[in-house]
Amino acid sequence: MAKALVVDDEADAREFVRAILESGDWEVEEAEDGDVALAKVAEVKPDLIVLDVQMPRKDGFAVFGELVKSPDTKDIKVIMLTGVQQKMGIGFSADDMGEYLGKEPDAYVEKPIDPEAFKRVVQKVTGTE
Amino acid sequence: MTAKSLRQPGHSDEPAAQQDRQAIEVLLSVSQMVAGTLERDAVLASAMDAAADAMSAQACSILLRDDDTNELCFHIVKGDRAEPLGSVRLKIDDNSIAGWVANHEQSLLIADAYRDSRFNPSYDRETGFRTKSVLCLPLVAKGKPLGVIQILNRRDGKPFDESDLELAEAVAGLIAVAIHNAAEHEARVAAERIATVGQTIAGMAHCIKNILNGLQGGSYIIDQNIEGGGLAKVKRGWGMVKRNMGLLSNIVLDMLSYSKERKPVYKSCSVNDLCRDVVTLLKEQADGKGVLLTTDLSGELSEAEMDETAIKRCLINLVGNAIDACEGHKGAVTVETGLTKDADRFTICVRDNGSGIEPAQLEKIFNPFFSSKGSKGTGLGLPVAKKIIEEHAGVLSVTSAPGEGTAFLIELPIRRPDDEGE
Repeated sequence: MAKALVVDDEADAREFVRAILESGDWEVEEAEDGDVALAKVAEVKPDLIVLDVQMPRKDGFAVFGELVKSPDTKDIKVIMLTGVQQKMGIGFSADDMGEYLGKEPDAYVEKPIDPEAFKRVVQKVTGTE
Repeated sequence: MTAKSLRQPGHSDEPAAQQDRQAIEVLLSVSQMVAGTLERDAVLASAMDAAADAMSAQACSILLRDDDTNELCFHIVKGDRAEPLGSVRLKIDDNSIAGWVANHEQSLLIADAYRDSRFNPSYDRETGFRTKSVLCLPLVAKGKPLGVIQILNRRDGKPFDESDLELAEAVAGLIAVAIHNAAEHEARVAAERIATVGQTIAGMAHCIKNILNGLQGGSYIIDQNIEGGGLAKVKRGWGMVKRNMGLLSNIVLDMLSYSKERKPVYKSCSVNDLCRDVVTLLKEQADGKGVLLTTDLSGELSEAEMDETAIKRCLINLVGNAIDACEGHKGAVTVETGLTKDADRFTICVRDNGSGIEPAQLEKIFNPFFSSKGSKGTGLGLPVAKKIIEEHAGVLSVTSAPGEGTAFLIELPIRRPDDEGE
């Protein structure tokens, strides 16, 4: 069974993503912040990481930046969960990110999550269609 | 303008060098007066004082252009001339002295107003002022005409002369720049205000979307499990829905408290009972996060006058924050009460042993929509708490050490402040 790591500081949000992924036969692990996430990536070796952008201390982009740097983790598929601030151009632009990190996440999904649309993104990103 | 060009034959009783020095002093004092503020009405008022002083004139008025109606309107009138001109508007045409000056963007020096066909004596009749000699100059800054300045009657009774006109032109130049700067400042402040509103709305939208995410998550989990009978999961989903409805109701209350200026509705009540109420209310939330929530209440303290609902809202926000800060830290939160030394004020301290706040963040925590709690915070809890305490003429302060914990201290008068009335 494919493994996914869900990283979000909010328990409810992790629970939501877990419920969607479990209905699609994923084995789900959770991490409540960026540091725990990086530790779990090494331990679990997930096929997919669902990464919230806005977290206290180490945010989603900082985590993504570290994943990209390491040859062991740079090929793991990453779906970023973004909020409205990003959409309004206050947070970041995806192009800037790509230029800055040399690589962009495989997909961005905006909160609040639409479960069916999210499933389609997961299938597309992981090629499990 | 050079000092040399100021030298004119007008005041022939004064030596030329002394006249130049006086002119320079006048210009210096005008520029100092108008540079003192950026607020437009204050700039206009001090500009008129400065101009009347500089020109030793009896009265001075500034008329600003209204480009929409092609009119001049009096702003403030200084000197012996009375107030009624405040609402007078003049067409920009050749039928009045000020109108002519605005129309042609040229200065006028009129030795005797009553012999000039453009002069309208009805203002004199209305105000009882007797206009004799007039200097009227266009105010232009960076090529943009702003209006007109009128200077009336030399105090020594003599008519204005060419050297007065030349000095007045320099004065008008300084005043025009000051008016222009004030207008630019006003525009900048307005733009900043709009930007702040934008950020506030973005912050609110972000916060509500997160709540929506929780509500959708809860409903999805219920949907997924209601048929198969996974009751435990249905309960979890329902818990998510309830929690997020609570958050939504909290943010609405905070938004209401934050958005309007509100006078506290004072009533005498027990400070310690209020603290006990809040602790009881948040006990479940604390237990759920493994945080020990206790009180340490002073026996010296009895009743105090306050808006109980507002102070309760403030305490709920502070204690709720403290619980969040302690999550996963074997946390403890204490609500302490006490009296100040002179016993006219009481204190409530909400102390936690949680994550603490970095010094750089400490400055920002009272800004609306600044939240260090990621998606959990609304960014309104602390601004609302501070606003409520300040409405009670109290002080909300914070001390924090990263990794050790945070203490929020409320200090409030026991009796309502006098100006609130009985």
